[in-house]
Amino acid sequence: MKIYVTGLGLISAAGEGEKEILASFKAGKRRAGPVSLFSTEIQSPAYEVKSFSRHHYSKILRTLNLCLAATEDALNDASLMEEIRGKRIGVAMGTSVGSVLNDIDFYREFRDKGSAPMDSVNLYLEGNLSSGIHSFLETEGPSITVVNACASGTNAIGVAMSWLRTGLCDIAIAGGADELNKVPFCGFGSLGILSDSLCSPFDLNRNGLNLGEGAGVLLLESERSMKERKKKPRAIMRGYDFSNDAHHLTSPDPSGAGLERAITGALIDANLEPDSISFINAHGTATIDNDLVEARILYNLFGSTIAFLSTKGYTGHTLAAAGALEAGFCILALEQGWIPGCAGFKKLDPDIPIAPVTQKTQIEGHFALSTSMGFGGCDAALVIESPEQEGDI
Amino acid sequence: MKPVFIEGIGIISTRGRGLNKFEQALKEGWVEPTISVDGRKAYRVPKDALIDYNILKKVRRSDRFSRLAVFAACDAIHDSGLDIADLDHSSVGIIIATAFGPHATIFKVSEDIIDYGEKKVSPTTFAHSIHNAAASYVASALGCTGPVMTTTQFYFSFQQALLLASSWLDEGRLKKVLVGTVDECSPAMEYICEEKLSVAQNGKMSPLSCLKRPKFVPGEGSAFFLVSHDSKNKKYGAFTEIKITSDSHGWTDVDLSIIGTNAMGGSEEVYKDVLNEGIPVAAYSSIYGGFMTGNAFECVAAALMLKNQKQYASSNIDGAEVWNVVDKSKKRELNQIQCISHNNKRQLAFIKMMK
Repeated sequence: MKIYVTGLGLISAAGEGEKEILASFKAGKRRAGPVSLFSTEIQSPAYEVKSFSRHHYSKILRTLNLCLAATEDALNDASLMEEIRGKRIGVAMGTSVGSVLNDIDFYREFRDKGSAPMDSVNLYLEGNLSSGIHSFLETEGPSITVVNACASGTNAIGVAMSWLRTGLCDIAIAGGADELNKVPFCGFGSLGILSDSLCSPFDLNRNGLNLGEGAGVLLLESERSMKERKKKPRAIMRGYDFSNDAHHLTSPDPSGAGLERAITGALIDANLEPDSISFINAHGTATIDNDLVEARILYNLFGSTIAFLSTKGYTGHTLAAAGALEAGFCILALEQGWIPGCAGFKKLDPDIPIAPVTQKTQIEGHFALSTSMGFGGCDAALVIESPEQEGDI
Repeated sequence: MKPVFIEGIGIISTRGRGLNKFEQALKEGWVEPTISVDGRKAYRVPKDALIDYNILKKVRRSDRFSRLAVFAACDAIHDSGLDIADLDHSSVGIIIATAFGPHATIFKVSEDIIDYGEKKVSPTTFAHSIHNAAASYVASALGCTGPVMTTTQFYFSFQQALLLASSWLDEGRLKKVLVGTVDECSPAMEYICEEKLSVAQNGKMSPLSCLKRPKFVPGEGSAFFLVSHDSKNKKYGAFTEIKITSDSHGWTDVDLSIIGTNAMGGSEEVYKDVLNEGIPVAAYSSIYGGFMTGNAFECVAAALMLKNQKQYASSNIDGAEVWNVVDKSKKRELNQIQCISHNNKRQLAFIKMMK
């Protein structure tokens, strides 16, 4: 069963909305800099959403604000904002920071004095993404906040696809959001995987990732719902699968078997062969291990000529938002007919058998693949189709 | 909803590890909770319940939160009669629902930052503070390479996880799903509960009192169900319907209603509107304490009652404000049971289970 995308909301350091994002991609613009959202001793560039001003509420988590803004954009894009009442709408959102009570000041005060103000606790308790969206929109339907680390956004889209396929809802708001936050910033630093310079996905000299923030939201619909609303699709979610390495908490299985299963499963779900794929938006965090494993699997499955890139050089690693943003970027690329160069890549690693595209590249064909990998051994893949060839829609 | 058959159950609670311990607790009713380290009463899982070197050798570095999940998950597989080594590892999915995640470990990351500085956070602690660390350990312990997902919500997280498990089975994505919940207490969380909720100083929750401001005692634990669409492997009946709604109409064709009054969702007066006078009502949260994923524990109780054809007396009927309270344990024909819970928006979630 095909699932249709009728709306997109994309917010990242690369831009707030499609126009700004495409301009950044076209110009190769990388909007990273020192962290400004909190004080830190750790020297690593971060991709902040500096221009973000659409705070729906003054007293909610930044992550939920980002998510609500992207949701609003997706609903407007799908012409659904005004006709949302009475519809069977599911909400599946991925997050990392939005699920965690990690306020250092709260904990310090509690530990030292035995009591602490409840302000940050209240923010946290109101900050669950899927519950927050349901409350904001006053909708009812299945609701899940996915916390599968950096694969959460992709997995949330996959959850929504399952709901739509099994009739639990007719429309789903799916994606992910995360804000830049001090605790994970220090945590990633402790793992030794933060780069002190701009990240270089798949490059010989890559030395780690840059953290970012943002939100990506897709409005997914069943064919019946879309036709009843007389909407044109922007894309079709053709296939999805995910797998687990059952290997290590933070390192990918060196064999890449889990990622290979996820990609193969997504292709089977889409009823496609690997040679149907026009390009791949890879997870490509720019860590030594991730890029090595991922590129080898892409080469094994798609050969040496597949066009691929990581967009982390434009957005940073936005954690749970990454998979949803990148699914959105795939849709933009299918619509525009080009993908940007893999920002940060300069020199091929001899251990990596294929190179990403280095400049804006025209693409032909109708199918894109987006991959995600996350702590906990999560591997996920989405196959996305351009609706152009579906003449009857 | 196509029936989702229960093949195995694993549970760990303040009364110990395993279904037998839980069933014994249902028979015994309320006992005074253990005392937490800072003097607050809480229904905590005893340390000796988390000692099993056959399992621990697979998860040696794990934190307590992950261990709670791994023990219950492994027990669910064992209870089904399957050997972990014989599992079809790629066709078993795992869904873990949690309200607060590994927050005790998350606070330890903050503690590292406070005590040692931003650059001296323990990488091991940080790795375990990720919400899906427990699911990763469960997958590793079982060797499962199929889909593994962690979800989080404060209310109805088990119900939503169960709906997703049902979808995965309906899609044919998987043959079996191990779906469960885990949450733990910590001094900081117990403090938060004390600030936000009305704590029962005597350590005794009254889950049938349906008060506007119910009395709360923190609880913790983990419960897992191995489920499939294959009726041949059914051991405890099935989940047959799930609905989450703003109206207060449950099913009237059930033999028993179990209410998930855990004192965490605000006013419990909502149950007065829901409970049909003719249907016997039970509640058991004073056995295992208040925690948002405790709804899975009510389903374990229901599954045991359907299997044993026996109703267990409510754990504490003080101040009962609902009708037809189950106050005696006895043999009884039970074909269908509904488990009801509520959230702070006065929505209700209903899970119907059948023999």
